[in-house]
Amino acid sequence: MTEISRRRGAGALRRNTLWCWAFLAPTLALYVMFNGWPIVSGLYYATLDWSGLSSSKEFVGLANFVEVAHDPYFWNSYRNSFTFMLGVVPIHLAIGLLIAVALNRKDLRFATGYRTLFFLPVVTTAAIVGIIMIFILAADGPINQLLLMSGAIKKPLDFLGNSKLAMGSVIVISGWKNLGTNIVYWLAALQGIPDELYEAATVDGCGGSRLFRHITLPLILPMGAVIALLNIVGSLKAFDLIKTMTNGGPFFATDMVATYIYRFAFSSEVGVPRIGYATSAGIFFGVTIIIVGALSNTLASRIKANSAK
Amino acid sequence: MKKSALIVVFAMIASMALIAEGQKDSKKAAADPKKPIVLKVMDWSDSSKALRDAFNKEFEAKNPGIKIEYTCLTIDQFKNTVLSAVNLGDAPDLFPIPVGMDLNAVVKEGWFQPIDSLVPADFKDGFLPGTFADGINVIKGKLYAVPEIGTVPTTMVFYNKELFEKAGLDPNKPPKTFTELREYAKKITAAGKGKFYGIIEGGQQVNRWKSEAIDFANLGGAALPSGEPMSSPVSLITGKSAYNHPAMIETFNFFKALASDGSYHPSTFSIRAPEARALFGAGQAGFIIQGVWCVGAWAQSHPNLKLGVGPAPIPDSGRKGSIGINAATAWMGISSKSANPTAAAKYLQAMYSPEYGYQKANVDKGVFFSTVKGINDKYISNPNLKAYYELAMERARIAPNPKTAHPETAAFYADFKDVTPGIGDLLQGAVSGAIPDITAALNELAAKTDQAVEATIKKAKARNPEIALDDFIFKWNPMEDYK
Repeated sequence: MTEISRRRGAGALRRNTLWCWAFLAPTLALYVMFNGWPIVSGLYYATLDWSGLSSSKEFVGLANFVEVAHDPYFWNSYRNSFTFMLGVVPIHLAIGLLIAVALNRKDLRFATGYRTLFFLPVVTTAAIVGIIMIFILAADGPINQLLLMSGAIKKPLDFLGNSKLAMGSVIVISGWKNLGTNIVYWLAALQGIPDELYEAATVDGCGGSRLFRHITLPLILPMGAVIALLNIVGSLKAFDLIKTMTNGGPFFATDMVATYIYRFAFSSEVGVPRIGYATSAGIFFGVTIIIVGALSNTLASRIKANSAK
Repeated sequence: MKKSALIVVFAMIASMALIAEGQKDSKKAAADPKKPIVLKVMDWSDSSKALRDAFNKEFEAKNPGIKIEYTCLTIDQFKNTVLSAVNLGDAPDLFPIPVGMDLNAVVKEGWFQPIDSLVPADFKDGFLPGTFADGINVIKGKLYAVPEIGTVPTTMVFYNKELFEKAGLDPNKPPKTFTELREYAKKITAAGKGKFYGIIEGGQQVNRWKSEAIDFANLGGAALPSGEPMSSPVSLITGKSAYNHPAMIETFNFFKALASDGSYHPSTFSIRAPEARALFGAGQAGFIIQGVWCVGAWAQSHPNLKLGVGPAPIPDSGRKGSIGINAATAWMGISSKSANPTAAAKYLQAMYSPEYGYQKANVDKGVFFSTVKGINDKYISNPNLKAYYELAMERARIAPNPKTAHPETAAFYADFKDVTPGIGDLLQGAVSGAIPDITAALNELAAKTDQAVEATIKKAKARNPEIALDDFIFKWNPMEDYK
């Protein structure tokens, strides 16, 4: 290769790189504006005693973080967020996979119709789902009527107002609402498996559950790890459905970190809201999500590496 | 590369120029004298929304050059929206002070402009005595906000006369004490056999629990200020927290007993006040504790409801106080950034003017009691509304207000942070069974409140050395109006 052609090659590479950056620039600018800047300013706000209304801001260092760490109601919401995640993620993973396997069958009639039905709650606004579910789960709602008629209960159950039932109820509703997305993920993973593998295994006398155990499962596992990661992070940030259905109650039984933050950022009875404190709680929990996300990611990478062997 | 870089830079500059031009155009349009002035009005007055829409039409018809863009949000939505709008310099022309915020603080931040110079000199004369007070809606002699409604307690007991009869109770004798209400609710629940229950509440709404806790405990002598925002976190007589006052403990035990009797409608804890109101209207509960706005709502939605109005019940130990109210409150003001303050003032004036139908329509329909002179006497036609007014005012007394009596307390309110969980949260928790030891929980809240008050006064002293705990203590007999 001559010196001239090598220089031409290097020039073309540089041009390509610059074009890549040019195309990335709008996204980067939006990221900086709507993600980067709020994160940086959030770190600053967390060190202030500030209502968010007044121009007077007092620097308090790490005092907000110390107060968050000493508030038992923050830890209650922290625990609730994880309980919610541990309830919702298995529903999304296990039931989502079962339905996806059923919908992936080539001999299933009206498969597109079923997929649409499962996906419908995903595209419905969470607030609307929440309000409708309040009526469905009400004392005179269809679920209680069914249970009363079947003789399973003697008095209607207050699914969202009883502190022992509320968490379970919001887990089931949230699990159902977002099931469609996970079915789509699982379907994408299932459809990525070449038919030849199934054909070869069938010729070798393999069938039914063995096909699923030895071919489907190992091949969709890497994708499953990614689905799990997305679900873990997503469910830890739950807010809209909780806010509409229980508002974190009764008496903080379904209070998540997101509803805890909202309460301090926007509510007050006598005094002023506490944006600084709420931001520090957000950062506190944000770090937790990053750690949980990183651990899940490491696990996902290991699963991918193992299945590639 | 140079060419491509130039293209990118040119595209960015062109887009920015287009945006700037667009903004210029919109400003030009706003200044165009031929185009009507658009007044943006935003609040959370859902119970009067239909009448407000009618008023807006009436106002537009009488003022052809002004168009009204009215947005009614929920309390929470309103707070978030207005906070963002003010921060972006795009606040509506007219908007109320969000609940829980102090007028002193927001005026200091430049949210509102004085109204005095925009309205006739006799504007304030049309309102009931005591409607305007320094520190509440007047700051340093200048008027910044007008109250929405006349102040009346919001915790009277509505009952269903038909269910009373079914339970063998006299429909003309509503309960007057905690024990009576409890016994009546039990009988109604028993008669309902699962079809209707003793009592229903919007149990998800912490502010409703808070109002009931404070008002009922006040009838037992707790001497806390009622209403939103509370004018003080401590007893107006002792200057100490009254959250663990014996009357408050008695109130908590009363509500808990209602729950343990099984008198609450099973949906109580998963619904908000409007849903509870609808279920009561549909005959699913014998009692509901709410405010005057329900009368008009039921007259429209459930015209056949045989409604009775009873007083807020008193503790069995007897009445030792009153629901402390203040006539002066702050609601709607004109944004300091309003491009059309004169038109905004005209709108504000029209809302309270006898020449427009807004005040009389709201009183006639039972939505609220007016704060305008002569309207209530002339237009209250609904007998339940009359009964509510008489019962509520019998239970209420004018309370002292630290903000009015001692303007230096503004420094305190600018710094005070609520103790959480608050009294409303605790009552919700006690009734739902989440708090087994009521006295311990109330003692803890009282101790934390006293600590927070002490710390805030200490901090506020740095800004205003005159502030002291004595500013929150008054020589007041809560069986009489404070003078």
